[in-house]
Amino acid sequence: MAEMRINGVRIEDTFAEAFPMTYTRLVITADTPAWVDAATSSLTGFATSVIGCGCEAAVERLLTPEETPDSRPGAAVMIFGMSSGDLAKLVVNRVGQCIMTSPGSACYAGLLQGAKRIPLGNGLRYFGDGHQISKKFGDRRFWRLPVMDGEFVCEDSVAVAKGIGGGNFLILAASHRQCLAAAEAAVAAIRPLPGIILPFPGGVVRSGSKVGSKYKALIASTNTRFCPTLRAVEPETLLSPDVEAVLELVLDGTDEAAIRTGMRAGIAAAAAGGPAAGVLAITAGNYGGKLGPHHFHLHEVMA
Amino acid sequence: MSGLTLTFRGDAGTIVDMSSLLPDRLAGQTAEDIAGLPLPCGGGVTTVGEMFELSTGDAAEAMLIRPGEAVLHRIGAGMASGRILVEGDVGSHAGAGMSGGLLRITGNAGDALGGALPGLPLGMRGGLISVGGSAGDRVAERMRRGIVLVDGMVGVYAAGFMIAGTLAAGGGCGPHPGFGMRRGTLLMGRRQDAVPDGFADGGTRDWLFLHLLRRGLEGTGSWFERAGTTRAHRFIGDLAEGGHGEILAMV
Repeated sequence: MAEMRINGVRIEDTFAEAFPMTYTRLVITADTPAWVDAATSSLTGFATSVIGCGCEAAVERLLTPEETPDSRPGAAVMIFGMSSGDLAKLVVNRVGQCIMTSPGSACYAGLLQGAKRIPLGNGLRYFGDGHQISKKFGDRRFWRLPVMDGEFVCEDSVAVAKGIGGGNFLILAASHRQCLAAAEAAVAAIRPLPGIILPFPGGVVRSGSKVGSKYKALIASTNTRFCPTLRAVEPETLLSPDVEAVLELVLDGTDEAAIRTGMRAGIAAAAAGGPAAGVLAITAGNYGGKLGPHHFHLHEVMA
Repeated sequence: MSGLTLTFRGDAGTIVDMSSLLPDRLAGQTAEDIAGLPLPCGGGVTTVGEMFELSTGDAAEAMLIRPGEAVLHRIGAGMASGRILVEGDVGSHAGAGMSGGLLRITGNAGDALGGALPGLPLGMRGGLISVGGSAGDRVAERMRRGIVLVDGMVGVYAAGFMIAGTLAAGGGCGPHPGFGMRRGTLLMGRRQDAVPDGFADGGTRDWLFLHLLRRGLEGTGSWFERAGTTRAHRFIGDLAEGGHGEILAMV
């Protein structure tokens, strides 16, 4: 295939390899946007990678009072896991420890339709010690749990659906500062898009991994081919001498279209400044096609 | 409102048992079929066609009932699905034992609205009843689930022996509200200065779940949809039945 460049930035002829995941969406509300942020920061904390955290989670988008069930400020949060069983345990624990504990918060299902459902309030209601109250309005059941600042209102359950995790691209830049600026631009371009989350800190990963390690106990270790400091001793390095830093964006989404849209917007934003902004190339992480069935070829995504 | 329309054409004051005329039962039947159905009326039995002028239309879509000067009891009693709109007043037991669907009454309703039919242990078990006027005694008696909305007043023993569900009475209640109530919510659109018998004063606050109720009632045009507050005084009871029910009086 012919070489592809966007604003002079080389787009490598490779693909991002993603895999099926199960996700759900919660709507979290509170009295003020600041308390929405406090609750969702806690809820999505330590949820960057399913390997080490059990799930991947982030705020999908902020919601206006007109968009939330209780007419207060809110946020839609997406949580991805490897199965509905895993999600069932993780979500109820996180909601119980991070949302129920947050002042003034409430938790609703953001995914209403689906063959499978996992418990929310239905798993937390016994905290009410017999004083919990169930209210069913239309097709939706809510639980009211008495707590010290009043009542914690929580939807009974939430649907889960099949999604995709591990969409990604890497930014190769001439300096760390320029690499970070390009990554920030990509994050800003992706975050408004529906159906996608960037689960890593600030939406960016600096410690991309490869499968396996010289140490038998580890299933993954640093991606030596993209480490600039190892270029001289790593025979399979993928970095040219002018690359000083690499940052990765990992995208989880509802479907292939969402991932593709996000990658396209992010790569376009990262490459917007061209080589003058220090961005030398965009590439992607894959495992030779052996890890997941979803392959996002960069040239196709950016065509 | 498209669907089947029944306009009463009998004598004023005629008493009719409407419990057999339900949307799910009449769905797919022609006006001629329906006109020939037997209808308990004034101590005897006549036909639907004798008492009502019928339009063409499918009851599965909706039913519009114009009672005129008749006394129509048990409208929507036992209804499981569909929509019934009544343009006028209804008699007793409207929506009694109802398990789903929408019953909307523009006028007043008699006793036992959303309550239990005689001999049956449970009242309403689901669906929504909306009354534009007032309602009689024992509204939502033994109710298990669903919502009853009354813009005006309701009579004595409102939400009596309620098991769960929501009764929202904009004009307040007569004596003994929530008598024997086990769970559920009786919401009143006016202040309640005295603590009802069998209840404990639970204080005043904003109730988040009332926002959810309001969202769920959008489009009904009811008093609660128009109420601009979710602040209410809570009374917990009936303490003789465990004290898990509540009366919420808007402030």
